[in-house]
Amino acid sequence: MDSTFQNLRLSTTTGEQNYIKANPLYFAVGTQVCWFTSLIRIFKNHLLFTHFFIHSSNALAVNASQRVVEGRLLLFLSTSLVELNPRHP
Amino acid sequence: MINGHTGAVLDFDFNPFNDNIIASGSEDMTVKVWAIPEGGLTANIETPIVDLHGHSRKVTHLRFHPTADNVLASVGGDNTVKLWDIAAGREINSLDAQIHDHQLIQDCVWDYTGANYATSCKDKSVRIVDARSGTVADCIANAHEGSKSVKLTYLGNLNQLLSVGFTRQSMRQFKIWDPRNTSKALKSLDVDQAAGVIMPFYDPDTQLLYLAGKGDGNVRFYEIVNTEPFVYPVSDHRSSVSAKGMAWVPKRGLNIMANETARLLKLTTNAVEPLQFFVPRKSESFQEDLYPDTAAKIPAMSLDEWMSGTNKGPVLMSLNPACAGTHFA
Repeated sequence: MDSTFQNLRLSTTTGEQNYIKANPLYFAVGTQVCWFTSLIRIFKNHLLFTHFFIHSSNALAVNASQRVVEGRLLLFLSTSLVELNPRHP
Repeated sequence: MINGHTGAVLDFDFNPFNDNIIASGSEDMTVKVWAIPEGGLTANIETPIVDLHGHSRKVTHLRFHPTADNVLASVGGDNTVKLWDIAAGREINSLDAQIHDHQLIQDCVWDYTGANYATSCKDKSVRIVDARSGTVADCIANAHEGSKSVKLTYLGNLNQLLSVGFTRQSMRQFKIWDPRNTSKALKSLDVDQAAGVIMPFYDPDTQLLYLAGKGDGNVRFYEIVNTEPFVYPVSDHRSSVSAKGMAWVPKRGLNIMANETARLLKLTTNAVEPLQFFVPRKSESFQEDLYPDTAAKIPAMSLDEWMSGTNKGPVLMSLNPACAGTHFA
């Protein structure tokens, strides 16, 4: 899981957009991927998703000189989030 | 994951009438519509079902029409607002950049029936636009005196528009406007002194307004009424963990039998936290007073109906599990 989310940062250019949207089934997070990043692994089982899904502590601290070449949407099942996260009963 | 843009994805929106359709806008100047397989993604998707070209700069905001099927609004860094028929993959109309004085559009929201949309702009004006004709019906100049971004939301069927911005002294504030008479705000309330833009979420069923600060951890909520004093503070959720983003989960996705009345998904630097709001009741039966009929996953009209001038509110549905499948036009 950790390596899945390394070198990601949330997508924005102006800081004005919202990075996350949801519907009853899914939520999506917009991210940017730096050019040197290897292909991100596919989520084969959404129930693997845990509370700390962007687990890299430097997820937002990507060096500004790293060129962004692709934008991606990460998509998750909303229900798995609720089932696996009892912190807010 | 969904991976098909050649530039950063700047905004995206789920289709309100099909949980498996999502549209995305990107720095690559395109709008793409994606189909999520039933049951969720099992592999990357790299090919959209619709690819919309027309903006000459990045696409910064996307908003699906609230009641008509297959209508999508997109805002571009070219300072235009375009409406799309996503079924046909064609542009319906485009609001010229001159309308916004060639300045950056900061937000765009539909009203309750989708007859109009409102935009906020770097020139500090909020414009109400007749969506079908693409003409400005009204313009609120200097809606907020601060120079930072202004966010908007219509307050359901109360026929009120909410704007959230900053004062000249950088206080965060919100104002409520009557779109029929915008000469003066119905209500203006200073919230606090903080740097982050406030993201507004309005629940038309309970008339509760949730204000989540971007960059801080607090969520304040208020009851909205359509007479003086217009706003009653209710309570707030406090947290020291700042939010990078916040998503509103439609009422259809709540745990009704646990009396969950709202759910926000809070994106932090390394997590997504669900913020669930419950009414503490012991009863295990459906609480009718907590759950007025809510927007269903059914379009109120087709694109052609809407284009012909018809205005309809959303199709409503009961959240009572015993009435599953019951809809009210």
